Amino acid sequence: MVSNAAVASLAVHPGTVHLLAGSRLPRKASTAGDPGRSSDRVLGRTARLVLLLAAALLTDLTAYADDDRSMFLLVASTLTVILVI
Amino acid sequence: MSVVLAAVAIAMRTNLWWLVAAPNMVAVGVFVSAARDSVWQICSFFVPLLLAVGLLAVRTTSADTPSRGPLRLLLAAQTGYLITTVFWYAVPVASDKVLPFPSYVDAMYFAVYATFAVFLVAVMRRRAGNRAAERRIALTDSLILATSMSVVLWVAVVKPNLAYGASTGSTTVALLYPTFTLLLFALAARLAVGSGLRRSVPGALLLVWVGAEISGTPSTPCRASMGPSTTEASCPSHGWSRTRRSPRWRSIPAQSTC
Repeated sequence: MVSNAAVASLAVHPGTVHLLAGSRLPRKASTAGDPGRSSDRVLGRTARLVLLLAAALLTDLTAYADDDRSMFLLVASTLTVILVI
Repeated sequence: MSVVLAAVAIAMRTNLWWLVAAPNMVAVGVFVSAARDSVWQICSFFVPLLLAVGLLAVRTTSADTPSRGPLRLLLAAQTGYLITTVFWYAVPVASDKVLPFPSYVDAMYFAVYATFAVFLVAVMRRRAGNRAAERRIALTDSLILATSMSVVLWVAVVKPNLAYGASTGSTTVALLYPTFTLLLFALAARLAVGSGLRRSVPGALLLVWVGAEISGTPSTPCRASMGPSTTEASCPSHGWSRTRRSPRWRSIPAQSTC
């Protein structure tokens, strides 16, 4: 239901045509060429990789647990952190 | 009707997209809070589906040529999704028959997911930048994320299905659902990390759509097998796929939940 709600909202948003046509979207100020921000991006990727390893470890550790729900919550929360980063 | 169309036209030209998002969210709330199998719950389930197809049709006819191709793909997929959902839910209820698993409905859902994937590829190709380094970084990031997702799917969905002992056909069809989940996730991850979609409202809506879609896909093997005489053997998928996001059958017995 949420996915269909998102599609319905996407259909009426004025920026959708730009998005699908491949034209430039209104975005925040670019960080290209800024050494400080570039190093932030590298750090972000490193953190994401570390979290990936943590997620794999958690998955491995909880694979032997009987409770599927707790395992799923653990891994899903870790993946959410990765995506947010 | 004309008032509704006028409101839609205004929303498409202005930034009033939330006028559509708000009633959809109300429908989700009604579905979650209404009594199970009630008319309110069933109607609220179909509201976002019908709105999505209707609004996409209006948008596709009014869009400029550059964006019309992807819009047609999305409209075809959403229309297929609506038709498949009717075949999955309304037709068996009206005929009082149980859908077997696997069935033609699964093939229809796979066709819909494949069209979703083609749509995402079309969007990705249009938004791909010319900077090779950026593209490589985005590809690496999406591979990392897709690999992590595959680990989760293997442990939570694939492995239990393999150990379930169902027939080869049932197991194959059940495993095709997480395969499509992984495919859509990888495409969405590639779009999210490489196209700057997260920085715009339509981009965020696109990612919310894919995220909600793939989070429900592992539960879809149970869709076609829900019915009065459904047994565990006909619905091999379990684990987190026990969750449902759709109206239940009226006469489904307690032991047939999958």
